Amino acid sequence: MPKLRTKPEQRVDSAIEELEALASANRGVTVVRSGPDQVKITVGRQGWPAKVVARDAVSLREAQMLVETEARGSKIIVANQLSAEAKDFLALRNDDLTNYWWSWLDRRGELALNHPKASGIIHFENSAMSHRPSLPGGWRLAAPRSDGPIRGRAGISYAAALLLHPAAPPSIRAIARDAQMSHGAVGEASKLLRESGLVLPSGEPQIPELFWALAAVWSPTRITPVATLPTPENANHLRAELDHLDNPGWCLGGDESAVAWGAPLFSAASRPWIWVPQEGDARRTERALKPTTWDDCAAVVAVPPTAMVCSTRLFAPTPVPLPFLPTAHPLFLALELAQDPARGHEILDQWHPAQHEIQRVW
Amino acid sequence: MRSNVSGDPPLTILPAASQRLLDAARHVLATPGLPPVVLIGGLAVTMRVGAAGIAHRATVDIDLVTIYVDREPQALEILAAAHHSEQHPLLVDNVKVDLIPTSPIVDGDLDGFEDDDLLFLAGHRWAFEGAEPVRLSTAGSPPLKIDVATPAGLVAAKSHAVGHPNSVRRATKHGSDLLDLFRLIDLYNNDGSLTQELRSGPTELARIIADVAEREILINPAAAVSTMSSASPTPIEADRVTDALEVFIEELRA
Repeated sequence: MPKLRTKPEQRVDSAIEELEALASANRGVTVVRSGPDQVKITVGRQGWPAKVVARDAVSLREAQMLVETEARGSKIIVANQLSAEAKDFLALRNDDLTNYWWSWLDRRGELALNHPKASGIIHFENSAMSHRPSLPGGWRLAAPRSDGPIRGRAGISYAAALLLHPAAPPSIRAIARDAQMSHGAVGEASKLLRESGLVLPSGEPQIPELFWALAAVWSPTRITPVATLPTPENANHLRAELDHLDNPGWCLGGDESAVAWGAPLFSAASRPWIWVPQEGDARRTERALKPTTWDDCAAVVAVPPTAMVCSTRLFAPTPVPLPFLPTAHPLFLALELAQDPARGHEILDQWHPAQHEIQRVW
Repeated sequence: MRSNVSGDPPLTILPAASQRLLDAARHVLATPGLPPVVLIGGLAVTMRVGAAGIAHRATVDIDLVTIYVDREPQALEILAAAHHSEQHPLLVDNVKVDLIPTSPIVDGDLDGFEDDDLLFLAGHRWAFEGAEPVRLSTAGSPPLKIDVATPAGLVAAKSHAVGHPNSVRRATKHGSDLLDLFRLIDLYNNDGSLTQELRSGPTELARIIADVAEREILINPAAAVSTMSSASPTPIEADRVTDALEVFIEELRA
């Protein structure tokens, strides 16, 4: 397969995901997307908007050019590396500015957040950018991919949307809205998938190849074992959106949910797996349900790699362990099983959902 | 969940969704003329591991060891005829049933056998002979009494799958086989009772199992953990695997 190049919109999307992920691991710092190439940065109590500028490498010359050509307003440069001269130049430039400053993320290990009223520098191991903090036993959290046909959240969301509606693929605009992504990023994701043959010229998915390609990049962006189970009351308080299934909200994943949809598997002592839409939802939920060890956990709180998991919720035809919660769509339950090449694949081989509205795409 | 009423075998309550599996097992055991059978395989391991509170998954298959009956219809033939199924695959109520016939082993029977064959023959027969009755039920259904291999018996049977898989099994099922073996050792050898039981088994059984565990897990625990993690519903810590296996192997060779 020819090497696929990353388009500018995708680089910005990946950059924003990296910034959000890095900030989420550090107390007192947040970065939240506020537009296609915009984020809101908060350090302590001070927040400011910033434009994200994605580059491969930034030399002194490139830094000078950016300062000359970019419009006024705070910026954050995200690059594989910024030279020491470029950083010195940006720092000196910041000293001359009164309303906005330049920040940067050097993927080699430095996040510098600068504003006239607040600043902070976070140093990290550069391996933190290729993978989110790893869990025991080789479990990994999702990291934005910069190669392959399914890249970043846009690629995952586009592939998932096609697999949810294989006979009537939704428009790029509709997918972008549901995935809370930019139209351009989803459009680029669609081009990559067509070029790789995973989407047919008609726009329909190549099945089951697209399912298995998506399974290969599928993993949560955050997983936390918690000590207590939610009740309907605190779930609603934590924005589970139980009365509005069309809104993004909580849903159950895991083996028990797959069983409830007819997956032929025998599961013992499994803990409820609760998908929540975003990192902020996860942090609130973890505080309420108390983080704990895997040995002592009552449930698992996780953030999916695409917001679609939490916006396509369904109530299962048979009971699940927390019956007040809907489950994830069977497509996403199947993607979880696909991570287990032994029993998971065998279970998928034998799983033919009986519900006519569920398309078997694996 | 397990409970025990005096005089009755322990009761294991299965999730409601296991009703189909339980019904199939009930129909297998009720088959007229069926020789004794013992539950092994992923389902038995999941029951044993789940009873200790650790999340585990299995496919909906029933793996049984039974006896080879000379000059009589074999268990496979009896089940296929009674349930109108092919012998391969044997389906009862649409659930796949696998049978391994075994024969009694007396001193000298296995002389000259390679470890691979010796472990298969002795391990499965030993698992059959050491089984203990368990009652299985889902909420509200009458319990089903079935003989299930002990944790030691399951370790013996599973060690063959881990140590001597064919290439297809190694490519597809090695992760879940390794995970089954590790969970059983980790949960049931805290006080050395598992190794003690294995050492009381047929000659060479403990030595061969120790060799398998060392070769497949302890020599490269990072690789083994990575492989078994893909089959696990929860993460696994490499140090825990190493600690459990070091003690297990040392005790088997003591």
